[in-house]
Amino acid sequence: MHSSGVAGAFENWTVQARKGILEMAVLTALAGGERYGYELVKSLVAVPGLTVTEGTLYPLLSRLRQLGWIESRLVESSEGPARKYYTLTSDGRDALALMKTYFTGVTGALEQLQAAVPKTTNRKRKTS
Amino acid sequence: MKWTEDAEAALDSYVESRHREEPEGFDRDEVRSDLRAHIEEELTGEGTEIVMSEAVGKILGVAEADVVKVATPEKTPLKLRPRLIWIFGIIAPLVVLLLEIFTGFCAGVFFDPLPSIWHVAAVGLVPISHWLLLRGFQGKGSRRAMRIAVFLQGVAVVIAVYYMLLFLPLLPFSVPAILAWGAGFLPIGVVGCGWIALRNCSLVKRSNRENIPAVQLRKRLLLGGAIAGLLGLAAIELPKILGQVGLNMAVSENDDTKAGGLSLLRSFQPEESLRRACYMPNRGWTGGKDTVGWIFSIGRRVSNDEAREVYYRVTGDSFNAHPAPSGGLSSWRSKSTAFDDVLFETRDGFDDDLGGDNVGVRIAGLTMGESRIDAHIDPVSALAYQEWTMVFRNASSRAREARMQVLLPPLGVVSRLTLWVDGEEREAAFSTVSRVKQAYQSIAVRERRDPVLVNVTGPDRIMVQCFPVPSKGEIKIRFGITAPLDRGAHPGRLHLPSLIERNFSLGSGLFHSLWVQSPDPLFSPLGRSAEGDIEADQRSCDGHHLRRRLNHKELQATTAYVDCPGASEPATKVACINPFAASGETAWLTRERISSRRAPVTALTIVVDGSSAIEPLRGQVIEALRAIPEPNEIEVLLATDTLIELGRPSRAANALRYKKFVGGFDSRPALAEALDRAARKRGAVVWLHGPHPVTLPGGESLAQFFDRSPRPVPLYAISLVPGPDRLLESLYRETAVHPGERFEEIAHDLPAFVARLGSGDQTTDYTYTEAASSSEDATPKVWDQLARYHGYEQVMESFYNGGSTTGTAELAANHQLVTPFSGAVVLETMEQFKRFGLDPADPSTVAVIPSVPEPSSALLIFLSAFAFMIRRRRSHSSI
Repeated sequence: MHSSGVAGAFENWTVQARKGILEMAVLTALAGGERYGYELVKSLVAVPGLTVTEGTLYPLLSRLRQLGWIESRLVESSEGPARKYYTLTSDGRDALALMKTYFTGVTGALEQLQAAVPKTTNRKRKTS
Repeated sequence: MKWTEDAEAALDSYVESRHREEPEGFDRDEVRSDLRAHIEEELTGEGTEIVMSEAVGKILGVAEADVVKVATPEKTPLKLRPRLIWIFGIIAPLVVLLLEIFTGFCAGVFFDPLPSIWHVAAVGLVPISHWLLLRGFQGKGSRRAMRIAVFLQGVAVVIAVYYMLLFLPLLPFSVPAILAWGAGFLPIGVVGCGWIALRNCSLVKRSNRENIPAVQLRKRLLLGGAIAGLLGLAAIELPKILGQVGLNMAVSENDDTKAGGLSLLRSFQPEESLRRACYMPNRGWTGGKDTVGWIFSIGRRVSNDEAREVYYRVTGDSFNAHPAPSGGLSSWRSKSTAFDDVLFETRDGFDDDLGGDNVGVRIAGLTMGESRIDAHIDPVSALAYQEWTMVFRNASSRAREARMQVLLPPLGVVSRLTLWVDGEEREAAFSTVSRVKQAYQSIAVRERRDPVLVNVTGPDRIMVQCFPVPSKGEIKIRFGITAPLDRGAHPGRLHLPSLIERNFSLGSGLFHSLWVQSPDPLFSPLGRSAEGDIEADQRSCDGHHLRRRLNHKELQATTAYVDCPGASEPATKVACINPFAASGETAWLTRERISSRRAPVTALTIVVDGSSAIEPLRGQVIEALRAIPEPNEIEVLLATDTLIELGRPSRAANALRYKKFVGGFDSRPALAEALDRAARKRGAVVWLHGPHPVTLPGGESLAQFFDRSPRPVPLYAISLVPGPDRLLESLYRETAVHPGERFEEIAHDLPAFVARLGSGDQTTDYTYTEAASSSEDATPKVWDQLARYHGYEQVMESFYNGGSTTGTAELAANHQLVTPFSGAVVLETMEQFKRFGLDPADPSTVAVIPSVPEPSSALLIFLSAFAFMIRRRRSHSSI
């Protein structure tokens, strides 16, 4: 009971945490320039740590486009239907910069906290 | 790339579920489009051409439980079971439908489940929808086809359940019926189909459970279909339901309910439903009603007579003024199976009114094929004699009786009746009403041989019956009418007879061929002759004649008359040989004209019948009331369900402008009130009325007034619309009732008539003397119609004065007249005449149309004397 409760809580936590990280990941993937949607999605799905599927990424792309952080355009293709290409807007670049700064700050803060925690306290907790 | 139904649904489901998670987050259509393109690109790489739901799920990662939360179905899915759908959902309803269409089994035994082509279409939709749905479930149709199938299933379930509920009460009888007779699958098939329809609905709701939006869409389609089905069913059945509800209310014992029912029916005017109830046979367990009629007949069955009374009260018309409503499928079935006489109104092959006193229902297949009217007007005696020859044809496979009521010219009398038997003319025997009726019923109804019967039913009204009009054969009859020319407002005018009620149709292209002749010129407003635009009459060396081809409407019109101006002033004194004088009595009859003046009417009550039949003439009635001079003491009453006092004519005219005449009403309460008022003021009553085709209860009150009133109040009954009139028939014996007046144009004739009453108009009367020898040489000698009509006047005087029935009947029969005491019957053989103590008229003594000009007086006298001699030799009386 105890372990399954922790697992459930952890799953919820990952959902919340991943939402922000996924947005940042998409913006980061587009930071290098315009990308074909299908390739973009496939590349993100292939990143092991993200554990994301196509079904999750397209709604995300739509939401980012609505926020004005990315934009898309259709390009005719000789191999089939028109292809959709995504690119980062200036707002998106600003947002990505802020995200990175924040992420770096949070990561640093977490490292500082880890370093400041006394080892005895941890032991006491475990015995109690 | 082709997507399967399930794949599309899976994609929809996914996008929908994501959108529920983040309602404001993204553009649903864009995401769907992107995902669709992504999936197709992914699968193109794999060489796949059809997108399946599994592939969609795999690519979208629906197993990703933290993102996609799909609601769990509450119930486990049903199995499709295609075989069950085929047997009960498709084959059974089709078999039942075809069986009922071609055999009409249920229609004949219980009720007609398919009374119209719309019902057939509705039932036919059920197996079609089941088949489409089955194909959809099996993935054989497109997504669009599946949606259509689901919608149609919604429609079908309403129809199937409606019929299932109808047949459910019959289900318990099915099993024993199958065991006993091998029949009874009908209810099982219908109920089974209803069950499949309900089961299919569950399949639609529970299928594709992981695909919530698709299921929701299907539920909406199903609901939409069900609503459409309900509306369609209501459109088919609602008029009948309203008709039946109104009809059941209208025959209630409770007065308020009855009034409510009539009000409902008058508002909706479900004429066809009511007519159906009038024509529907009363026999049998259900009477072959349609579904609605059957349901409503479970509690209380409305009889034909009740329905016919309600029909009149609602429409103001006689039900048999129109043919039976189309039997729809029943008619088609009957024709296609060659049982052409088993038509709607006579489903069981019986004619309830055969040999009876009512004209009754229109008989399918029975038509008047030919009609000719020959007439001679004698301006000297101011008498006319007309012969109406009719040929009836019967297209059915059963012998039928032709019945009709004929409106005679005012004060006319039937003086000859002939039937053609094997091409030979057979003359009628004249005798008491009871004897001729007994002979007719015995010969016609029981022995089914060839008689024809004519009786009086009311003032200037006769009933003619002839039987049998053989199957696929015809019968020819003729009756002669002796009538005086108009002595009132239009002297010298002869009105033509017309049909006011009949149980046969008029043959296609039928016209009444009219020939009127006279020594004097003739005029008529009737249509031109067939030859084209010719003079109003034709003069020839033989005198004048007028020939017309009249359609039925023209003969029924108020303009169906011929004027002979030369007869407007008949000879003061005329004489004829009386061929009907008793043996040893004098043989000369002399008529002398005298003028008298009626006492002026000082107070008048006009009763206007507020029935629908008068509605087309309302404008003319208003105009006529306005034209009546105000100084006279005149008041107007309107006869509706309640008596409405309209006051003086001008005020009444204004009131009637805003009063629409709807329904048929009993005029007796208004007449009783009018007679009471007139009695107090020593006045008279003028009753402007339409037909009263049914006998309404409470007929004794008026008769009581006429019987007991110390002072007779004249009642002038003026029929504005020709038609059957039971009320007028019931007043026939009352001397104070004067029914003869005919209006051609109400707006002109009513004020003129009122003015004549007010001034005490001059009337023409006659006195008769009989002598052994010829009267003075100067006295014009005329035809024996004078003697015939003198006999009629004697009979009617006795009738009104309550004279002896036997003696008067003998007098009438002796003069070969059809009167209230005597009728005429033609039988097939002399043996039949003898069996009933009847003596047919000698052909040499019967009334005939003379040649024009009339034979010289010497020849006339010779012919009359010859006929008289022959008659005298016939020693025994026919009475």
